[in-house]
Amino acid sequence: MKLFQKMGAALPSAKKLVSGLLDESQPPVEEDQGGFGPPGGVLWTTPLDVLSDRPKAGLPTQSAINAPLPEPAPALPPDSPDRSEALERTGLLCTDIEATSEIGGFIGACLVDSGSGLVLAETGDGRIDMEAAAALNTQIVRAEHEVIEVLDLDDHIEDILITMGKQLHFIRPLEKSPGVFLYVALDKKQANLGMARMQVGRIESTLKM
Amino acid sequence: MSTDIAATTEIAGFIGACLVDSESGLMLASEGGGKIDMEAAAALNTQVVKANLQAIETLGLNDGIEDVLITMGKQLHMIRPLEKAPGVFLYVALDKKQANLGMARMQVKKIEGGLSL
Repeated sequence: MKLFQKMGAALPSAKKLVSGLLDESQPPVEEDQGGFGPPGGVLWTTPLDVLSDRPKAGLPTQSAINAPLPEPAPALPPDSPDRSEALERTGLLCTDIEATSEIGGFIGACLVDSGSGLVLAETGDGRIDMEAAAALNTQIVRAEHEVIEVLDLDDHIEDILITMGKQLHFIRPLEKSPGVFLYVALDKKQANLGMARMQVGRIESTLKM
Repeated sequence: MSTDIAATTEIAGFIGACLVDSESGLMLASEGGGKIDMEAAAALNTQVVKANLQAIETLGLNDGIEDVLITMGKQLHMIRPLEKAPGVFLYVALDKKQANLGMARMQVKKIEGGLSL
């Protein structure tokens, strides 16, 4: 019973941690419960003193077996702006692709989930329909993945450069999350292929999903 | 008519090359290949070219593909439709360690210029 009370007592502090991540006015709580959860402690963690209450050897006590599982931390809806803001603050997410607009000849750029073909972030002057570009370039990425898989190349895409008569297009899957790619469209006359490629690579490395 | 792509073997890091009809996905000529099944490569890269052409058309870019460079961890692949016959493309696979992207691109362009169908 004592064990159960301790488990219950640990819950409010876990909830406090979660709300600390969400509330702008409150600084994030840097409390560590000593568990195995991710930094920030969104998952419920076991305090060390609960573990020390266990018999040194043998099976757990009957009360430990009967104790209900701790209530999981309330999950936030995936599209909640609070959630992505909280993740951005903790450094787990960065989808800022504004720096692409500094590349010579910039027309537009977007960050795309190649699982769904949907846009995660976009910027540009509107000359290219980014929603359509995201879906269409996902087709190119998938075709390329098929090349690698069927030819048994045991490799991954670093980037795809498409040179056209008037434009240059870059597709660059994120190294840290290959299921997401950065797409950049440039005006060929003003762009420098080598410079642009280095800049795209640098911007890609700052993105986190 | 010239479908001689033997000069691609002189490109640093050469693995394989082929000339492909992007209508049918069939190979018109091939060189090297090693472990890569060039016939499969021709068909698969046709899919990449078609996806590119669809993007250009749907986005209303009113443009044509000059080349597509695919950089992977260990290899570089180039796709270059012939200027005189855009329905046909030259595909070259190179070993990334030995290849020079800029040089290879120029060489592929030169070889493509010599091809006619």
